[in-house]
Amino acid sequence: MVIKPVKYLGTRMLLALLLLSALLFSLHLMSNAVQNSATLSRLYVPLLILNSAGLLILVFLIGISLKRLLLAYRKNRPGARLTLRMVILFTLLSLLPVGVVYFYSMQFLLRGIDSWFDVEIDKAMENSLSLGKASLDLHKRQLLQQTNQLKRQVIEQGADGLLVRISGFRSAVNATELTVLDQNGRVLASSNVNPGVLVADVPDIGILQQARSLGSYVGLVNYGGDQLLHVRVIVADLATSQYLQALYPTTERVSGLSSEVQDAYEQYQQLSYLRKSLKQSFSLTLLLVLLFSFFSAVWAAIYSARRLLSPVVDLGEATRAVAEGDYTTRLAQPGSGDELAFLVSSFNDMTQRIAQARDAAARSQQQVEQQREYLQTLLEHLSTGVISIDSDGMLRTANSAASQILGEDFEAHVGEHIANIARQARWPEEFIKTLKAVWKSDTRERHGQVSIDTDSGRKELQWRTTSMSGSEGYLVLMFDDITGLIRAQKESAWGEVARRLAHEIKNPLTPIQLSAERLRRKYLGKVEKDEVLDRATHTIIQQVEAMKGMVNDFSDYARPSVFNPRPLVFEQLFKDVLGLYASERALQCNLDAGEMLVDADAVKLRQVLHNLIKNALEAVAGIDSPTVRIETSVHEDTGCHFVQAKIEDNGAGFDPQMLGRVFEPYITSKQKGTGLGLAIVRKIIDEHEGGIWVANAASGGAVVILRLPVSGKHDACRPMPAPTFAKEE
Amino acid sequence: MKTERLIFILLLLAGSVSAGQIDIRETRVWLQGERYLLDADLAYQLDDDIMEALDNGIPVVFSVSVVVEETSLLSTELVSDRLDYSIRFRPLTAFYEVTGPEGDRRSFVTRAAMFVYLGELREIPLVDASMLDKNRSYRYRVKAELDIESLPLPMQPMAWFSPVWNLSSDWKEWSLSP
Repeated sequence: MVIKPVKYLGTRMLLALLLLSALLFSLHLMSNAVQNSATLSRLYVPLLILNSAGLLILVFLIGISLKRLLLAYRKNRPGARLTLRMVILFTLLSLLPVGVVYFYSMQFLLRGIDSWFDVEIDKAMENSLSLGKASLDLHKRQLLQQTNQLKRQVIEQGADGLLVRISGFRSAVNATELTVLDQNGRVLASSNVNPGVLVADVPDIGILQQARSLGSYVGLVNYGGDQLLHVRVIVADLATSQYLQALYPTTERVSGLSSEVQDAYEQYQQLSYLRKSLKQSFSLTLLLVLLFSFFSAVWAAIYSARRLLSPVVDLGEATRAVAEGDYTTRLAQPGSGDELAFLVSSFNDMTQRIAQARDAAARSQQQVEQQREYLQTLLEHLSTGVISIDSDGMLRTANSAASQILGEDFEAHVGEHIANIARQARWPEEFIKTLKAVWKSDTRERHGQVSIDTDSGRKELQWRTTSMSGSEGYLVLMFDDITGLIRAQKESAWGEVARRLAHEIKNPLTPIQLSAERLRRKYLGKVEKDEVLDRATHTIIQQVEAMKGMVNDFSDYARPSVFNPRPLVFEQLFKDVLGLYASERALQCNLDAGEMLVDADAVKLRQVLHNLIKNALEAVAGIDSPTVRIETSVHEDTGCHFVQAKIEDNGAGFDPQMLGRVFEPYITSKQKGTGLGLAIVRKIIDEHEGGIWVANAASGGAVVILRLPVSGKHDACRPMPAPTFAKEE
Repeated sequence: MKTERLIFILLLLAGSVSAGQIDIRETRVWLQGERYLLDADLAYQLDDDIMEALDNGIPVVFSVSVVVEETSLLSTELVSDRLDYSIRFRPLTAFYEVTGPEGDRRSFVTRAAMFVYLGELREIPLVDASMLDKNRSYRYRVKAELDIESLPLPMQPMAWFSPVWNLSSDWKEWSLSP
């Protein structure tokens, strides 16, 4: 039984959420950095790298998930197709709005940045700078003219008193610093408004070169501790190769305004230069946000599809398992309580009921099987033969008693038409017709008695038919072997006859015999012509003796038997009996039973053997080449271990009409005899739990087979297996 | 195989577009009072892109790193100093302004004059003589580079991955004998 738990937030899910959260936070920081947050601006590039790496990890994870999904799709796993569809659908649904937002955001962003640099603003900035320059240029020209005048008064008057002169002139022209430089830029004399400034501001060599080549230089410079804007004026005196540099301060207002104009222009120019980079930075940030949103949506789509379809996939697998016969499959109940939970609950109920139904069916089948086995066992152990015939007349079942009674292996004939089987088994035509009539009629309940010749002799069967309830058209034929019963009844009847004969006839015989003998003693030789008397009395005495013998035979047959079995060597007993017939040339013996013991009454068994040998010799008396073959042997058949004696002659054989009744009393084909010989033989052999069979040999003559169980092996020989010699007929 | 080929092509491209460089040509250390001072001659050769950015008001910062360490197995650092020189163009006055490590400003009419100034570092305080042991040997190292992090933020991503802006000299070292 497989119960699949519904998967809740797992470690992987938590990790993915952490990654997404970290990425979102990082993007937020990056967004702040882009907006020139002083603290975060230095983290912009690391954040950019971090976000890119995070996105790569996200792409990698999504790639793994998609690869697994595609693999499952290719292998046609349950739910893979539906999951892929949902992922594609979710992705497309998320891509469209995200793409639209990205497109218009980019449009707004780029146009917004471009709008900062409007042509009018650009022009205004240029103009303000030009205005500033123009204002200062005017001031610079005045100061240049003023400095040129100073040059004549300072330099051209020689080096004497230079320092004093420039100090005075500096104060006069209101300059911050006045310096005289030689041709190499070395300071010759300098005066600063601040007495603490000991080192004069020296222009770089480029400015000096310009002043030398052009005669003068005018420029702006931030000077002093407050970095106030000053006008640097340098005039060259070609005669002395000296320079006069004057640093004139501008007013604070001019300096401040100039500084503001310059800063504003610088900032504008800087922004204008950074326009492309700004666009790239914003675009890059927005692209990262887009990618983050998109990949998050894809990942969420995969996760959601799996989670949504998990019960459906489980249901699919469970359904497949049920289809394959596994009704023990149960699904874990989702806690959502939605339609899927109802579906899972219904599925579990269904499988449970199917399993219960299957178990009930199995139990029922088992009971049926047990019932069948019970019936089979019952049938197999019944002494009554039972066969069933279907509506088409085909043999369906037959128990072993049927085969045993009828001498046919009905198991081998199952499925054959019963008429063919009956003919093959030499059932009487009348009986076959009766069965056909029963089979065709609606009244199936019939019974009767029939004699059937089998391999083990003629058998009297009592049969009855009935229909099989629950199987339309089926006919059940049951039959009992009542041969033994009839024989017993006959034997009982004959025993009563014999007893009465012995009683009623034997009693008057003795006075008759005594009277005849008295007549002979009294009148023989005393009367004339006593020949008649002699012949008559002799006949009376002789016939009385014969009748006495016959009555004794009847008496023996009717008398309750005294049976004293003991183990003896069968072959030795047989040799003893044969010794009495040593002079008989017709006998051909082949004794091969060895020292095998049988439990037998020696007197009675000897009587049997005498009777059989005598009958055989009488059967061949007077014919050419009389032969009586006697064979003994030991056999084993169906577990029964027995000794067999076979006596075969080449006489006339048994009358076929009498063949089935030769063991009945008063049945004989001989001129002499009472007809009790074989009946007594049969009785003795029955007492020994053996078997005796007669038949006519194919070459002519009679065959008698006698079988006795080996000493101590009687149980396995009930009944004694019949020989198959009868087929030689 | 494809990745390796791509990296190779990128390296070729990087080499081909890298036109600027900073060289540290010569240094001198001399004792003035109780302190060793450093004079260094550097040569700046910048790409036009940097010049263009400079002329458009983008301030550019060059950092000169100076390290004094004991020449031993562990190379114990005694001094590690960084001198930032920020240069910018002032449009109103039309000169280049250099702001030194101490906040001192110098203005130059031409770029050439400015780079001459930047290339002649004079009397940079290196290390106090008291920190040095005469029985031990020392060395000092100098390196100059363009500080990308001081560029305006929008330029930084491009500058990080552009060989034009990744401008740095190698570390150059000399022995210092107290």
